[in-house]
Amino acid sequence: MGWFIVKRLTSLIPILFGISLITFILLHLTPGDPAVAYLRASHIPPADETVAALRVELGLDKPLYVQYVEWLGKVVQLDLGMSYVSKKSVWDEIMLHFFPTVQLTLASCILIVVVSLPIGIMSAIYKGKLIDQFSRIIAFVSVSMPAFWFGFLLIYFLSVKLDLFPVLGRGTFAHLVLPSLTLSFAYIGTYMRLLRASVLENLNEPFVMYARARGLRERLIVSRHLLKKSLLPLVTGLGMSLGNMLSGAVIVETVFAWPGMGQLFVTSILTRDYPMIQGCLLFMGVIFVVCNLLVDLAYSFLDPRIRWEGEK
Amino acid sequence: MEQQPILTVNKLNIDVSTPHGVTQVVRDVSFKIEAGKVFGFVGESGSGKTMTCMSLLNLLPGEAKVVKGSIKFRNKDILNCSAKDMRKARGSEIAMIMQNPMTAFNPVRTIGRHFIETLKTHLPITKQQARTMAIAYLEKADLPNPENLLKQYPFQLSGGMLQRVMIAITMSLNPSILIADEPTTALDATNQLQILQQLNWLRKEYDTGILLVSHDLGVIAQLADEVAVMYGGYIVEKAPVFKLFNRPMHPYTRVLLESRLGLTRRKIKSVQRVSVSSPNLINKENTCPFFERCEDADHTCVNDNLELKECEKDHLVRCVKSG
Repeated sequence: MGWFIVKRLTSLIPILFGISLITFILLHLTPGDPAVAYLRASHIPPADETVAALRVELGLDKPLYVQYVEWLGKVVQLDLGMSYVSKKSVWDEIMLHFFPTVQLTLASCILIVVVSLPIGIMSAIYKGKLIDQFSRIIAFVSVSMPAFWFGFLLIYFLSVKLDLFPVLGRGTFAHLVLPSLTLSFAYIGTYMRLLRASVLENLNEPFVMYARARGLRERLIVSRHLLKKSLLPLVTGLGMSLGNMLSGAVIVETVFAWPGMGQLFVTSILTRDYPMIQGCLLFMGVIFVVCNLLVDLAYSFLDPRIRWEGEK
Repeated sequence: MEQQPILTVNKLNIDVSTPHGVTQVVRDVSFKIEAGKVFGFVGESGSGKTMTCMSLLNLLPGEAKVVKGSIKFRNKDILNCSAKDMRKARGSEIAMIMQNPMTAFNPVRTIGRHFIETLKTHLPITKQQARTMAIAYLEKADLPNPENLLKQYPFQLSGGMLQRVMIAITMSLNPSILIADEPTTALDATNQLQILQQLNWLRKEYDTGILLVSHDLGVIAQLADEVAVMYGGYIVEKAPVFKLFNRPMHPYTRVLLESRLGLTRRKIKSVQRVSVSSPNLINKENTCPFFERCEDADHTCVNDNLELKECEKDHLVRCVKSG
């Protein structure tokens, strides 16, 4: 197991290198001069001489590869540069916004698992029965309802009408309820149906028949035999969703004025805050890579066949 | 003195509902299994062998239903006993070993977990006791290094080994009846022989009655005491193994035996004559199921009288032309 992790970690290095290269190049391919953007953000009229002077100061006059190497050298030391707008360190800003996002993501993940797991399994076992029909409707609604609308509905009914939860912002536990409900809602329907399909598929496997033929209790067959095997496709999906959520749920964060990564990223794009955009992109890339690693680890934990292949 | 049978199946009929209508997959099947005896079922795919096996455990798939007949295990009525009683009987009184050992085990659980959970379901023992028991029985099934085996996953073992693990699990609970549905089909020749030897040993040592299902006459000949040939859901011929092999009465049995011999002798002719398609089982009352493929068929075969008839002692045939 240890060897498996080490192997996976070393394979991350080229991927991270690739991410850094792509984020750097992409940003330099977009139209617009960073120096002009900097001056605008600082409310200085971009006269030719000022722009030229600033280009030298920011190192923008050097060849692209030199700029990249210099930038990468700093990135390795976690120095992502300084925001053009707030004039604060990009790394500090990201950290400041990352924690609320983590909070929201964790709460949503817990909701997803707690809700979709039992309903998904039940609707497979009682296929065609009431619970299955119910879950089908929930899934349909959850997938087709846009998050901003669902969010506003929640605010209107639960906050404005019933005054149960605060409308916006972050602070107490009560603040967390509505945003995480909104964020998880879309995923719940998907995972419920995914798990249902996976359980149904496994229900017809000979190993379930053999478990029954050995006289095992149905409860044991579901909890020990079906669950673990049926979770595999879910883990893949959840890993991807985790990456999505951690890199910021822009809409949900905007609706609830949640100061997370999504907000930071969108604001930085609107203000053409180049170092911030670059830092956010790189950070999100890393998040996705780490989530993928987590998925692989979870997989090897759930499926011994993968674990053995990894040790070969 | 006749032995009291452990399992008695009487006039069993199973229907399966399909999108094309109701198919009668098992029709008028009756047989008995006695302690220490092996009852063989031969027949091609779709002849109703597996459905019959599943009904003995009351584990028919949702679309299949017993519409007529009874299954008696000792004094218990299998088809009408409570779900709880039935579950308790499975594994401990009526056990089953599966056709394909490679898929019968859950790939994400170790052999040990499979073994121990089975023992703990039926016996009031601790996990440690179950483990000790499992090791002892794996040893009895000639499996090397049982402690290590318990920690291994199904994909790390060969099909033959897994089949022997299944036999070990069966043995550990000492059931009176073992249903072996094509136990050797998925295995290579050497493993086949070992498994058959082990089944033979099982019935001698524990007096277990075995229902052996196979499409391979060689397997049946080696182990069975009595054989039933199935075709189109019917038992078309039932006899003690020597009588059946020496004097096959039903045309289908003859074709079956000839097709085996045909490989070594020159009697290929009759094999080719039999069309490959399986019979259509929907709404075919009163006609011999083998009618379309039979060499000797004529107008007398369309007949209401499709009963199994005793041609000689213990030798029953379902054919209007026999006897």
